[in-house]
Amino acid sequence: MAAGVYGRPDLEGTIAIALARIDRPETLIAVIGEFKKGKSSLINALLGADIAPVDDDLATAVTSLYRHGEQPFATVLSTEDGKDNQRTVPLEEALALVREQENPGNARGIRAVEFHISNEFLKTGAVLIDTPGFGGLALSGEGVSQVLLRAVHAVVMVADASMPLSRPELDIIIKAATACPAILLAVSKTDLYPSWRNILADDEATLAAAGLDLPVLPLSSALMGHALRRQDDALAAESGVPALRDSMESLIMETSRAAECLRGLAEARSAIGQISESARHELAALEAPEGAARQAAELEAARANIEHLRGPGSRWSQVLADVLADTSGEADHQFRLALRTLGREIDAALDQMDPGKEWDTLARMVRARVGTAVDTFFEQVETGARQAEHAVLEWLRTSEGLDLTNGGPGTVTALADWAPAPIERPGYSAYAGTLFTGLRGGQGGIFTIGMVAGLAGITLTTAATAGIGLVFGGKQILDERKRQLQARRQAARTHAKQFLDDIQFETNKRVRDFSRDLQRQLRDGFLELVATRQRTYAESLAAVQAAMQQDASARAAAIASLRERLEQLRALEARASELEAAL
Amino acid sequence: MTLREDLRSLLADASSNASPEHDETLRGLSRKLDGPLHVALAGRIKAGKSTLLNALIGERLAPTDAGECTRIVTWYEHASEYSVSAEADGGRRHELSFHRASDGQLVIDLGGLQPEAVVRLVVGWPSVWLRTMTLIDTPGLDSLSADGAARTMRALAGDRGRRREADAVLYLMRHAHRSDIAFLEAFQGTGTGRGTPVNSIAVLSRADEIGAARLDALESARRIAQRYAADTRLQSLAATVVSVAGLLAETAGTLEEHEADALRVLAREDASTAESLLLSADHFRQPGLGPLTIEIREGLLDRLGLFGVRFALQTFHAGHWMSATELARLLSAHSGLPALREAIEGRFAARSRQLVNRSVLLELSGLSEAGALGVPVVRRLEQLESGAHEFAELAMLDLVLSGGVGFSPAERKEAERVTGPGSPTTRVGSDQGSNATDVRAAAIAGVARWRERAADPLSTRATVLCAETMAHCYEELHATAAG
Repeated sequence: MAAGVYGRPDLEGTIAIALARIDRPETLIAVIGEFKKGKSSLINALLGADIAPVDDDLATAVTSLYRHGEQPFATVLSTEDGKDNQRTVPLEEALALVREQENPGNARGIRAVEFHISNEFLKTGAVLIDTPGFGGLALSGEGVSQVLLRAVHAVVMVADASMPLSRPELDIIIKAATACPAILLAVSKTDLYPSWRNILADDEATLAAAGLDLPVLPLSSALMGHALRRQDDALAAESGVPALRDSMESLIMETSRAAECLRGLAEARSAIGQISESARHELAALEAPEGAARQAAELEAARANIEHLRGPGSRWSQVLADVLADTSGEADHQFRLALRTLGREIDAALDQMDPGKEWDTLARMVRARVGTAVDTFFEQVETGARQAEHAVLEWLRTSEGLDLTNGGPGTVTALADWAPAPIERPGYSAYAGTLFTGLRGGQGGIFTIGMVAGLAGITLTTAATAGIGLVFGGKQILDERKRQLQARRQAARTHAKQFLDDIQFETNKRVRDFSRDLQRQLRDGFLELVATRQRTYAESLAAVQAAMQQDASARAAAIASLRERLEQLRALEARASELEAAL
Repeated sequence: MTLREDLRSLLADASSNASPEHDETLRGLSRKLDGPLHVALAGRIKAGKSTLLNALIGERLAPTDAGECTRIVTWYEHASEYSVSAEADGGRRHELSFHRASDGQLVIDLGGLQPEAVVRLVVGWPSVWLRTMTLIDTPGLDSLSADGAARTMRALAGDRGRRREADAVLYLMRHAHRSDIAFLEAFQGTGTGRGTPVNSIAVLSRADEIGAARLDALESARRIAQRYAADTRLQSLAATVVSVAGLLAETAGTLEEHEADALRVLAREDASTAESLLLSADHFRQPGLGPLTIEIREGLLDRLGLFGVRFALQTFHAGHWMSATELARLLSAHSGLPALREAIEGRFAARSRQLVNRSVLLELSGLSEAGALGVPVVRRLEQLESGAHEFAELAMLDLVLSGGVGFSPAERKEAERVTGPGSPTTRVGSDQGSNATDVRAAAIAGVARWRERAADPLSTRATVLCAETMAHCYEELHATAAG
């Protein structure tokens, strides 16, 4: 590769990733909706193959990723005893885990399953994410994670043509649209309902009334299935699946692909720029040998000048630590506040209810609220890391005159690299891929440790005492009933408090770890950038010194070859700029 | 004196020295005591409530548009003459004019009343099915218009100062959604001793639409219903779960010969035409395909749905060229309506007096807690509450069905059987044709068995009380069998 040719193997990795990004940018698309609305069927229709398990009764229990891969295999991500575990299994085994039946209530603690399958649609770079539907009785569908919504490029919300959008559905659309603006609504099962057009119009009106502007597309996965079997293009068109694909293509993929390409181009230009810089120094030394000594001294000084940036006590690492500490402190405060407010609300609610009867409802509310609070906590810390990154870049630019913004560590878009990374990431970029995985890891642990065990474990004898007063009557039993209600309330209160304490303890510990990881990763990333920059200076210096040694005839040949190389690099740069402008 | 008579005299006494506002409530309770059971149909939007209501009445009466059409709580009660009236806020009744659309659905003219101001509509209709129970159609829960949902909750679960109107509920759902569970919990009251799976039946409605309306959709729906019936959370909220294809059931009650004719014509078409028609609802209505006009095809789709048409054609293709009557019978049998009627009969109708009495008693308890009743009346009320064996029976059944006591599945079945409808012979669990001696012996064995169970020192208090009630049930059966 180019960098290898120009003697810079350290830049090869950057260019490889940039090329991969431009060549096959990935677009993460989450498919969300209530359970039994046809999310998995929609995925099969898009894939043009029956891959995602579909059942009349049982629903998808685990978040599943469908990604292109020449060799089919699956990766299962689970959390066991609070530890993350990732293993590769055959497709069939992984498919069984996705279904509710074989994995009731996701008892196996599986966070996500990633399927690598060879598929035309996926080859375009689409990564489809099937999510457990919300609203079901199983614990797995606790609602769509905000973190997931923020990490994906696009969201396809699935509702069906049997009924207009319900209140919970509209709520989830509003929530999703805030987190991810590229969203569309697919109204499924249009083959079944003669009046699907009215439903579609109703939904559009509902969305408009809610101030949402998103495409609403009718869809029949069943028709698409028929079309595939008969190879009937007209029928396929009627199913609405091709239109959905186009819509996804134009609305979602092109924008996200452009962003990915831009990022790839920026990385490539940064590499080209550094290679050109050495070449220009060498050329200058060759063309004007009298100035070469001064040039060499300058380069040496520049290299030495940033040498202190590599030291452990360097100012920028202080800047990094300070900003991170500030933002985490604020996030921690917000988190405590949220839990305390929740604690008070629980107490107030318990005074009004019989926890024996309504504990499940309360527990669900608590779970959802705690989930949001934990999500927000992690998000704020992650935002803090982003701010810290900018602060360091800014500090380097103003205090050291060192501009690293072009092709910086790039944590922001790295969020999109959801779950296991598809491309082997060499060099400093490796940390970018682990960022989001780390984030998920932190939360996944809490959800398995605290939530399920902590809240579902409580059984309060309820009905047993509830009806007795009525049967066997009498005042004493009524009093007894009141006393027992009080006892249940007390038990529930203690239990809820314990749960919140556990969550706070566990979350704090994990966020601390997460924050430390982030800091280390950012530090390593910057160190590497500084090292790369130093290497550029060193290369230039070596080139200048070599030029000083050369005699006149060799010099002329070297000048010609360097000019040619610089011309090539300029052409490359120009092409990159052209591409950038075209996007 | 029967419990009903006791309650009636109690109501009369309470009424004689009650304040005017409570007096009206008490009068209402008196009427309720002699009236039919009130069964509400509830569920999320588009769960198929009106369709099922029509199926139960055997007439296409309630409007069933694809939108969200039932916005006002509507009562369908037996009457000798057709009438529709609206009850406004404050209890005033307005007679309304109405007519029936070409498809039979009621078109009601609110006569200038604002829908928001109407508390409920009352449709009086001569129908044998309404004799034993008044059906209440409700707006969908979690509808986008929060108002409709609130009305439903008010009508079903009661509200401050308003009594709950339904004695029992048919809860319709497509799949068990979390909000369904939340509703059932609310209907059964919260921690006030009203929890009662006895008076709720969960209906897995729109069974024909499961699995893209494949021909095996109904079997699939039955399996799902069975799974839900075994779900402990639902068990504690509904006595049973039944799957019903509401549209098939509704149409089966009113299928006409010309519709069967049209289906037969369609069945005679060549396979490829039929296949392409049945691909989707749109295909079925596509112009110029097959021998039937679009209007006829749209009619069939409206009445039977894609599944119903597929089902009918399959029947014809199997060589059974049925008449409308025969086809209707087949549709009805497959729709799951007979099983639902049986469940209603066994769970609601057979206990209808008990359920109504209990509703009245619960309302009276509410009034008593609110301090609206005089001391002598309250004392008599407490006596009634604790003394009546039929309440003990219902409460025991509630506890057993909701899983509040540790009865085994077999014991659960036994509790249902013993308190269920039927002759003493079936209730004690003897074979048909057993003689009276055998039945008495079985009853005595039952008493002994449950007395022993009640004496188990490790049992919880609730289990002991329920076991004693079981023993008492067997005693009563023995007494009945002894003549």
